[in-house]
Amino acid sequence: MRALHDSGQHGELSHLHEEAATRPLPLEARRFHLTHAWVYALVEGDAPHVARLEDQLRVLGGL
Amino acid sequence: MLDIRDIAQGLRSAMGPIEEANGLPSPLYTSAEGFELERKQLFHAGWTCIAYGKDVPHPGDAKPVSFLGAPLLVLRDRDGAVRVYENVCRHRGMILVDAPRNFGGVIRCPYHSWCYSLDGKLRATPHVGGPGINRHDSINPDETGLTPVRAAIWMDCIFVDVSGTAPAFDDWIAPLAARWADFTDKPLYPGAGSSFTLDVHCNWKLAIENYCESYHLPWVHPGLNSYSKLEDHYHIEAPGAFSGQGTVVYNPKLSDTQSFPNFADLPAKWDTGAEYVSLFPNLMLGIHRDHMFAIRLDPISHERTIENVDIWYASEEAATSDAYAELRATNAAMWKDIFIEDISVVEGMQKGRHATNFDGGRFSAVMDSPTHVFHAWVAQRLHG
Repeated sequence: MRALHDSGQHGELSHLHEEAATRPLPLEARRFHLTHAWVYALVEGDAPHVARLEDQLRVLGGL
Repeated sequence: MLDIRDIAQGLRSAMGPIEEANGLPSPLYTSAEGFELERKQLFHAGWTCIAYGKDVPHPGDAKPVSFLGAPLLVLRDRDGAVRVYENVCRHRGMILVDAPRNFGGVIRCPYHSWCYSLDGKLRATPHVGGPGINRHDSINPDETGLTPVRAAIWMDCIFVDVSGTAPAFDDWIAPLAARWADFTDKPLYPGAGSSFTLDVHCNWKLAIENYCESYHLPWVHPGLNSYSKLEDHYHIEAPGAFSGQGTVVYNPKLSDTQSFPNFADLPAKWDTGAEYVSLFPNLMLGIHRDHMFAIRLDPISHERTIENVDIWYASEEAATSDAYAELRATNAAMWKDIFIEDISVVEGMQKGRHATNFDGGRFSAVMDSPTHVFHAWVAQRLHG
């Protein structure tokens, strides 16, 4: 993720953060990753992905 | 420090009858204070051209514009409409976009990643309520979108009213829109390879003044004058709005075998007619039966101006096809040569404005009236 940070590969970054959020992490860490996955999906303009991430964030209290 | 009272007499004189008037006072050409006064009372207090629609041709295209210190963002939304916003995040005032680019999704602030959709709405505020909490009651997205700037597009020229208090755009542009009604409903196609800039060491007003009148043509543009003579020109004057000159002998011979297609359904007067108008404050336009050009002035300082020149054609083929590439290049080169011929005189007038005893100059009551119209407009806007 760090290597991709300034790469402009926002879709890839979004998916990496989403994948990280599936790991057995504390709630706060999962929300953090989903937040970044959501922002990069917004930048990518991937509306279905954005909607899916927003659903997950709502469930976790992030939206 | 320039005080408006110091130049009040000069402004009153510029507004007088042309036979008695002097040109605008020199501090408006030679001082940073004069430039600042114009920024406030001319450029940021009414409609001004800041870009062209061709600069943002596709949905999602965005172009940052520093408009005399005001950071603006010109963008084309998903529906194809041109919008202008202040180019700053509503969070900490960070510049949002620092170079032209296309946005497939939202506009993300590079500082804390607050995100805005192309309609200006605040779309995301990551971590605003703490880590992973992306909302907070104190931030209402409906009230915290990008700050819109009043904008309008006409003949592919994008105008803004930073003050938000100028007359309605349609009313403001109405006199020129009426004059050029034969063209305003026609599509314009930006010419490929038809853009160039000129960096001129003069006050922006001198470029406008020179463009207003045909008086200088025999002396500064002998080539142009060989087929478009002084007596073939007429004045165009709309006090308070625009001024310029027209010709009745427009008939370019760019090629022995090819010519550009004309705009459709033009009245016969445009067969050999062409008009060149300065739309106050900073846009110089040329209209012909087969192409239009615009010179948008970006005043950089009181003694430096960038001229942004673009040419549009009447059909997509004329504007973009290889078949017309050579003719477009010839046309652009012809205009560029003519505009370059003007540089020595506008830069010469800039140096002349430093003469201690120059009183703004006397006008030819016959030949300089379009220039006087412009001076009177500036004086009225500054003096009231």
